[in-house]
Amino acid sequence: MQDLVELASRGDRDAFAALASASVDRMFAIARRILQDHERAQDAVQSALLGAWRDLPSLRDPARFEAWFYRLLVRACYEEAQKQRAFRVNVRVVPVEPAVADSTGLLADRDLLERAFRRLTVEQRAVVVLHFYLGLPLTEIAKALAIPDGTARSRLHYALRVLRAAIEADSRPVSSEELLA
Amino acid sequence: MTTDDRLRGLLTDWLDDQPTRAPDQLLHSVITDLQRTPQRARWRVALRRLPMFGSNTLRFFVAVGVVALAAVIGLGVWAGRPSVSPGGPAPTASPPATQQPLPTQAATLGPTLSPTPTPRVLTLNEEATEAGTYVTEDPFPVRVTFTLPEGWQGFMGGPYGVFVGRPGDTVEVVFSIFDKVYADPCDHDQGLLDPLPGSSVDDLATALASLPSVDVTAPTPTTLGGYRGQQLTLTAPDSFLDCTLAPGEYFRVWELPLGATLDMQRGQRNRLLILDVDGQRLVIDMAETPASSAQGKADAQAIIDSISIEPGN
Repeated sequence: MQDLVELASRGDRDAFAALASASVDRMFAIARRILQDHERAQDAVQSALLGAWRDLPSLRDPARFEAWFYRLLVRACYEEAQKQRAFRVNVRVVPVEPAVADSTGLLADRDLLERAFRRLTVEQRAVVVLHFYLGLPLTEIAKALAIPDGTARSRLHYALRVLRAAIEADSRPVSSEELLA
Repeated sequence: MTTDDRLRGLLTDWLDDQPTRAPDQLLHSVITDLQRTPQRARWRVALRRLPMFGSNTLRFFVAVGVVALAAVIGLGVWAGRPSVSPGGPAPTASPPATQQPLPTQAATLGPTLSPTPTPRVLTLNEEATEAGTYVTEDPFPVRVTFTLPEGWQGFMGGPYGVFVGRPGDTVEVVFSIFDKVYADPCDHDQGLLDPLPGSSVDDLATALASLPSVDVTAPTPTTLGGYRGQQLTLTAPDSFLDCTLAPGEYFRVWELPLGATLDMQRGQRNRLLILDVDGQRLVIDMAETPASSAQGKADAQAIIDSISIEPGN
C-alpha cells in the first residue's frame, strides 16, 4: 500500500487507480452510512478520490494515507450533506415523533433508529459510523478528522443520547393520544 | 439487557446490514476522470490550505505586494536620481504616525469594559451547534440575530430558510422567505394557491388565514425588532383521516422557493410572525406539537424574544 501511495504521489496514475480500486468499496460503505443516500455517497467518494489524487503530493507520510483519506471522505460527505440541505425537499421537517410500538419488534427498532440517525448532524453521523462501523477508537477518529479528542467524544455522546432517546421512547407505554400521532 | 447495550447492538447490526459494495460505474468514473485530472504541485497545495488565502484575500495581498514593490522601486529611483537643486533642502519624510499621542490604556479600555458579545455567524458552512448568540449571514437576505439556548442547534438551508431546533424534541424556530402556499393541505391534489399570494405581509397573512382544513387565528398587527407585521397561529387537525395527503403522507402547507416544505403533524401548532423588513418579507415561525416539552417551548419563546433584525445581507 505504501509503495502505491509513494508512486501515486509522484504522479503515477496506475498506482492511484490501484489504490482507488482497493478502497472504493470501503469508502462507499462509509459515505453511504453517513449520508444515508446512495447517489450522494457515490458523489462524495468520487469527489474524495479525485481530491486525494490532486493533493497527494502534499501527503508527507505515506503511512498516514488511510487516515488522511478518511478525512477527505468525511469532508466530501459534509459538502454533500450541505447540498442536500440546501436543495432537497424535506429540509423542513418538524422532528419526528416517536412511532407507535408494534409487534414487528426489530423492524420497528430499525425504523426508529434510522429516523433518529437522520436527525443527527452529519458531523455526529461521521463519528458514529467511524466508531461503530469501522471500529476506530475515538482518539483515532479525532486524528483522522483533525478535531480535538473531546469534540469527537462529545459528538458521539450526543449522537448516542439522541438514538437512545428514540429507542427508550419506543419502550414506554403508548398513550391513546400518541396513537393519534 | 440495558438500553445502552441494546442500542449499541442495534446500531452495529443496522450499520453492518447496509450496502457495502460500490456500484461498478463509480470506480470506472473515477479512473476516467483521473486521466484528465492533473496533480497539484506541492507548493500550490500548501498555499491552498492556508485559510487566509481565499481567492479574494489572495488577490488583495497580491495587490498590496505589487503596490509595495512599486513603492520600493519608486523610492529607489527617487533616491538615485540627480538632485535638481544640490544646495537645497533634502526632501523630508512625512511625520511618522508614532508622533501622534498614543491612546492611554484607560482611554482604550474605557468604552470596552462592558463588551457586547460578537454574534457568531450562521452560514451555509457554519452551523450553530452550541449555545450563544448567532447572526444569519449571506446568502440569507436578512440579518437575524438571536440567542441559541443550551441543547439547541441551527443551520442555514439556503437563501430562503434558517432552521433552529432542539434535537430530541418536537419544537423548532424557522426564519423563512416564501410565497408558495398550498390551496388545501388536506387535499394535496389541489396544488398551490392560484394565484399565489402577493408580495406584502398582508397578502400572505390573508392567504394563510383563509386556508381550509387548518384552524387559523385572525391576523393581528405585531412588531418585532422594530419591524411591523402580522401575527397568526395555525393549528393542524388531530386527524388526517379523510385527507388526500402529499406523497409521503404529508400535510403540506407551504413551500420555500428551492423546494423545502412545511409539513404539519397532527395537532401541530405554528405561530407565525410575518414581518416587512425594508421591503423583504420575513416569516418567523415557531412550531410545536402536542409532544413538545415545556422546556422546548420556553426555549423557543426565549429565542423569539432575543431576536433583533437588520435588513440586507
